[in-house]
Amino acid sequence: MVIDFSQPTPVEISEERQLTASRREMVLNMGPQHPSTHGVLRVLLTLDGEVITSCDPNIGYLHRGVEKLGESHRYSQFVPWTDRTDYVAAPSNNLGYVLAVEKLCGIEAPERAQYWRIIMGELARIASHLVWLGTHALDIGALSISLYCFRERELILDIFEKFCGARLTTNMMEIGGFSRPIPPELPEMVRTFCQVFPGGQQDYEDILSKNPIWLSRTRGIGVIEPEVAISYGLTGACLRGSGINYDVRKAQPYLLYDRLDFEVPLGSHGDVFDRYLVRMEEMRQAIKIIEQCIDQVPTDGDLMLRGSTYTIPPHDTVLTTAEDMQRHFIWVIKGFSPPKGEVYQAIEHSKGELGYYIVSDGSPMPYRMRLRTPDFVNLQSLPYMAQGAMLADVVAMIGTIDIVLGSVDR
Amino acid sequence: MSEEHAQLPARPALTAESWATGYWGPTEPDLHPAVYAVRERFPDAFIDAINFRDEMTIRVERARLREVIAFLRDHPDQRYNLLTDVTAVDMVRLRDTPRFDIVVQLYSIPNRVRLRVKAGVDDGETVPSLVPIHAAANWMEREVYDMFGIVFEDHPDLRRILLADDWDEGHPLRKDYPLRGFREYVQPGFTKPAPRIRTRLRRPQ
Amino acid sequence: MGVIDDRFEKNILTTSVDTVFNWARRSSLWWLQFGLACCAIEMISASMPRFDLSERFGMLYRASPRQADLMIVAGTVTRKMAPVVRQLYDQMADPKWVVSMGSCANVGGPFDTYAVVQGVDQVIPVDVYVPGCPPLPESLYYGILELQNKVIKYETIAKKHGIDAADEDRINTREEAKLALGPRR
Repeated sequence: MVIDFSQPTPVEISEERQLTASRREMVLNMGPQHPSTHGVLRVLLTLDGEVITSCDPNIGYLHRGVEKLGESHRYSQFVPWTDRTDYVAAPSNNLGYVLAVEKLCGIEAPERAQYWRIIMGELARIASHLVWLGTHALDIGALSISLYCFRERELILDIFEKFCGARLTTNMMEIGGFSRPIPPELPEMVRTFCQVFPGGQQDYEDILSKNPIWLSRTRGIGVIEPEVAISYGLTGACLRGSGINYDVRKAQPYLLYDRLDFEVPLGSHGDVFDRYLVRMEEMRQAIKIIEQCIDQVPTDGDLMLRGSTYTIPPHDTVLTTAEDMQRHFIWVIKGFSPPKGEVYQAIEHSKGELGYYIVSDGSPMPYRMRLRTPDFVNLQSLPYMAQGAMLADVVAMIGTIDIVLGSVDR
Repeated sequence: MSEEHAQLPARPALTAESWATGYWGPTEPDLHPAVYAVRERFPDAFIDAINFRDEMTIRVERARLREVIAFLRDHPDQRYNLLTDVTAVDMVRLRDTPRFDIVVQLYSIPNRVRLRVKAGVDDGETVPSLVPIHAAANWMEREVYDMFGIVFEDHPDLRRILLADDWDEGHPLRKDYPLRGFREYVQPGFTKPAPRIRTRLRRPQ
Repeated sequence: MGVIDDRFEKNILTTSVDTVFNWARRSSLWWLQFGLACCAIEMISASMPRFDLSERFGMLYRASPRQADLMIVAGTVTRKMAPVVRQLYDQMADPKWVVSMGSCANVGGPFDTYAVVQGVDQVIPVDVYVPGCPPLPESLYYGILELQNKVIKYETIAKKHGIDAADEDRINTREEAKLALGPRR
């Protein structure tokens, strides 16, 4: 590339830019690489001084074609790709997919597996909220909170690593339960975590909840009214922060949530501070759920549904009986053929309602695998929130929606 | 499916607070209040109602889709006010016409019940956009356009969302689009990219 | 380094001087805060209290590519993002190094689809590849330590002979820039 420095480079100003220049407006590009956009999100802001007149989020910089991959792989093979959509709470993604496939096949996991699924799902919820709080506080300026949050998150990742071998992309849930046994020291690790975590959470509350800087930067910012929130299809803490009581675990319970006793926190103003309070309380409720499950979980029992064509046969009979060995071989190589039809299964993910819509044509591969991710829908509310706001508050608004770009772009 | 609009089945009873007896309502299409209401109000647009694994799906004509969704949102008993998902399925391997199915998932927050509405669309036909009814449909319809090529009428800003704006290789989620795509990415000006043993297409020399 | 850069043939004096410069460079690598996908979360975990990549190695993250000399590409590079990656790499000043973290950045990872570039080395030259999906923070440590071994051998005031792809890239652009600027005055 030969650079010619003798002539000045001619600059062409497009007509649109000339118009905005005459209107005192400036287009600012918060590009894909930006410390505050939690991944590769590009936000095009049109500014009049410091005030935002319009905001246009550009996504797709992490679009990897997960839905198309689902159409060319078997049902049991698809679980690792679900991890990588919302990578901060990978077990929840696995859970939603596995529940959808089980609904399609008409089977249900045994009780002990359901308890452990709840425990792992709630641990994933806490892990996701810790990443949210760490990055949100880091953007707003409270730098030490991010270090504290990741300190607690390491304890959760230790539990995941003990359970399934991987810290982040766990791939732990399987269709019908769990095929690997639970390590004997795991319940004790979870109990210890439940005792240690409230102390850590008290640290964050002490620093943030009554902090005048935090209050002035989050109260009254990014207000979403309840009717607008429903119209934008928001779910999760974004909707509950505006006062609408919709939590899939209470409205349409899955697994064993109807046996457990927990509350759903609701905000009242619909601003950034209310959503912060809702998520902090959700972490406390998650600890409550985990403690109940650890007390109620049966210490022995099946972890994987036996005798069904849709689940992997258990290890002991595979190695000792001939028909289970054949079934195992066929299940792994060819896969199982669920009935024809379509299902939609929604779970309460840490960010909102995560839904899997699977269309099956009777073959071992799904015909259509649709992931309805909560961040994709929640991010649509950013232009509404940013209208008329100051530039410095956009960072707080992006943080409060709690996006993970792998989930937005899939 | 019976098409005689004059003889509708008996009107199902509604309970005090929520008529839903399951997560998706009654499993019999004749007993489902939303099916009854849609069939009564739109007798020409209603095609049929199917139930699989307790999930109720209503199939309507594509030209009246927006009115059906608005009716379901504004009806004082049904009140499906949360638009959960708008997506499409390419049915080319399962039936001849129409090629695509637009699938709309709805949820009623007061009644805590879900519903699915489907409309068949052929290649080249347009679908009325749901953005005037639910603001959530904006990006969902942009994604359907990006992935399938289905155009929505009256959409305020229909352009590609997940792929680059100048993507000229088609719409990926169609069944005739290969998983690995048509072209590889070539960085202009980069003379020595690392060699790959298994490439899809030869790099231009 | 200006006047003394790429100037001398290799001998005992230049290697000693180079070692001092390179020791300073490898002990204070400033990395560009550039996380794309899941590996970014492991990169953040690596710089957090348990693993503490930043403080122990003298590494600090900078938001602007102009102030960084190490780019850790953590995550999947899609076809929409690839020109941006190249632009960021071009904006970084010499000497610069690239660590490709995770299997998506190495070879495209589990995503062999229409929208994914199969490896970031199709876009920019890479010095160290760290495998894993995502790599443990300990694996990232190993990659950084290997990179430090590479940095200590970097030819600063000695003439560059093109050890690897990154150096050849630098030599090519440097030769073209020299031709464009004209003879040294």
